Amino acid sequence: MSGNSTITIYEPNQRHKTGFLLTLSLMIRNIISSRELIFQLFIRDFLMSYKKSFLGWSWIFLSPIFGVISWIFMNATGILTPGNVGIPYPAYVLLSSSIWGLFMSFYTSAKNTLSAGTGFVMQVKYPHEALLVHQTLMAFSNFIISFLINLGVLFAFGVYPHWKIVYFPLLVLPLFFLGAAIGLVMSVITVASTDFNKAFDVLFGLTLYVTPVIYSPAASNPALERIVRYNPLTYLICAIRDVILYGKSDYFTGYLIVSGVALLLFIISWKIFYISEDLIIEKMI
Amino acid sequence: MSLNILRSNTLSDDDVVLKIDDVSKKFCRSLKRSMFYGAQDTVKNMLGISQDFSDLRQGEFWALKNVQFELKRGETLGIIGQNGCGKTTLLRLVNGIFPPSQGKVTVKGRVGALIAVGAGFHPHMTGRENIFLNGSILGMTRREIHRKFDSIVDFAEIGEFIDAPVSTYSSGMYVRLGFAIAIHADIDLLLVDEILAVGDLGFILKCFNKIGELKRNGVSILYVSHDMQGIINMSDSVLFLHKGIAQFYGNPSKAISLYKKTFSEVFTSEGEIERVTNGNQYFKVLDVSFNYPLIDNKLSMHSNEDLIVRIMYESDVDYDDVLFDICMRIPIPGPYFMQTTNRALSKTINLKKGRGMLEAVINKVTLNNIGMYLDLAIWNKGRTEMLFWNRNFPVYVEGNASSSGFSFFEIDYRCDNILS
Repeated sequence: MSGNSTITIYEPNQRHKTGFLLTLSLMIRNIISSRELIFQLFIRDFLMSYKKSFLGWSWIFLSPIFGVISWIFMNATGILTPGNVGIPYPAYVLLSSSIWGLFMSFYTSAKNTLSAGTGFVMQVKYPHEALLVHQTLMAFSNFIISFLINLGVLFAFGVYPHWKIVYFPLLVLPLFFLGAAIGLVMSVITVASTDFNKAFDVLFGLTLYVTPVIYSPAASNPALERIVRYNPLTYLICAIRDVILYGKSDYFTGYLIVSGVALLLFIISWKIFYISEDLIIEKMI
Repeated sequence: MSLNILRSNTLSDDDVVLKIDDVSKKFCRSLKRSMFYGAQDTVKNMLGISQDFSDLRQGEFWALKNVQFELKRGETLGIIGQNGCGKTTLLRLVNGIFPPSQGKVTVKGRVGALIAVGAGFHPHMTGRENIFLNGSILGMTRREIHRKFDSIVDFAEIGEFIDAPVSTYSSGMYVRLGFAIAIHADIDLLLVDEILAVGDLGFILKCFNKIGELKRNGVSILYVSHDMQGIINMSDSVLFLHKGIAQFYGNPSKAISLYKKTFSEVFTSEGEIERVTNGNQYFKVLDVSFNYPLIDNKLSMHSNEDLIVRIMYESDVDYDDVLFDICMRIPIPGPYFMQTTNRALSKTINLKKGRGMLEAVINKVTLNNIGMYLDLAIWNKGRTEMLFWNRNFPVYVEGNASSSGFSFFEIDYRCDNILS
């Protein structure tokens, strides 16, 4: 016997009735109580995914570089005129796209929260926050590995990051909040409608073009410039990039505002996920 | 939500560990519609609209309806019923996998389950590593797993393979390891779902012994199984579910009798007596009766008694040395209890011209709590012409409630002291 007398009650509409703050504190409590599970899941997936192949490791290093080759090619041949980016273009696009990639991976991790647990989600009771944290940690650790390579490339181009790069884990938090906020809502919708999911993924990927990732923020096209100015990601990505390169950024105020909104969105999104989870789980049979 | 209650040092006997309060659960049959309802419910939830799940939308059905019971500390409740009657749904509700559509499920303490064998096992990790992984998923802390590690490995009988990747295990080893971990979790309520479906006899015995140990330590158990003897051995009371509704709650033997009766009734109510042929131009069967009345086209008798078949006929000619076939079978195509003809039993039957009564006395029907179909046929000598064929007479043999199994035997016992 466990000697534990905690009483648990299951009722219809239960999660719906829980207030925002209680939902949030429950989430934090669940993450703390399931920290060992998160650790075990992390060891399982991280080590196991690289245990197998030499190619697996190489791919993590090389794929970001392959990702930006097309942009570098277009720039070198004059097809793409990104404007003045301040540092050698390959370094710029590598840095920007890796930050962008991190944002997308936060989104994807959140979106796959439930499907990552397929199989034992229907049989065992455990806090699903553990899955979200685990997925996110996986995304972040994969990112760190490739980011180290990126830094190597930057050095090769004579670009040296500012010491404030140490703030990086803190700086990317708003990226996580925003990406996960959208991803969590999608995670629920995905179970109900896979078509919508695919369409949304495509559209979401297109935001790459309206964010100054492959071009300079001071874009020449006025219509594009307006979109860029209203895109919240602009502030996040530009600010992070600037801090890494120069230690400061003109976008910082915007960055703080967007961060606040992102955090709020995340809290709301978590509540939505929490309510819907109960209803969605049984559809996953 | 969760409330923390200080545990008192003395536990009274009526300490309720599980309360199922008027619980109902519905699902949707069609996947497409299910997705649509899922989307609809989610949007409504997001907009803050509280939902009433008491009506059935199109395609929905009740997997459980108005189930009500309590389980006290140290008690074992057996749950029986046909496949699809709601047993697994009930376990999932208690386990907290999804909420009920109506009613309330209250659980005191920690719940463990022998359901998810090898939940989260990673094929490339060793058994050792998987013990920690699986243990965490089941809610054990690292320290707890370390403490119980040796006991888990012993129970699983994996031996030196504990350091081999789980993908190299046989299915038996896989199951043993999964159960070994689950059974060591520190819990107040154990959910067991059909553990006899997997594992060899030695392992099953081990599981039962371990479960017995847990019982002695005050763990309450919900035991779902099709093994009736296991249910009788282990349960203090039994809940019999049929199509989501509780039919009976109480004495295990009574519950099982009721279950078997319903089981047979499903078949007998669907079957109809087929009077395929009743004669030819010379020979006619006028009536078929038994020493028990046919009520609602069904016949009920007690175990260990004779069943007499009486066929009244009328014939214009003599039919000598006929063959009278009787088949007693389970109410589904396939297995049968006995199929024989008078010739096999060295008995000759001569049906003389005029009106007569052909009787067959089946001595001491020692079936137990099971229904059967009776098929009757009469052939002429040489088996070239079938004179009579009626099939699917439904017979229910009511037996001894305290013994299980489909047959019944009188057993005498004797014990002598041997002086050395």
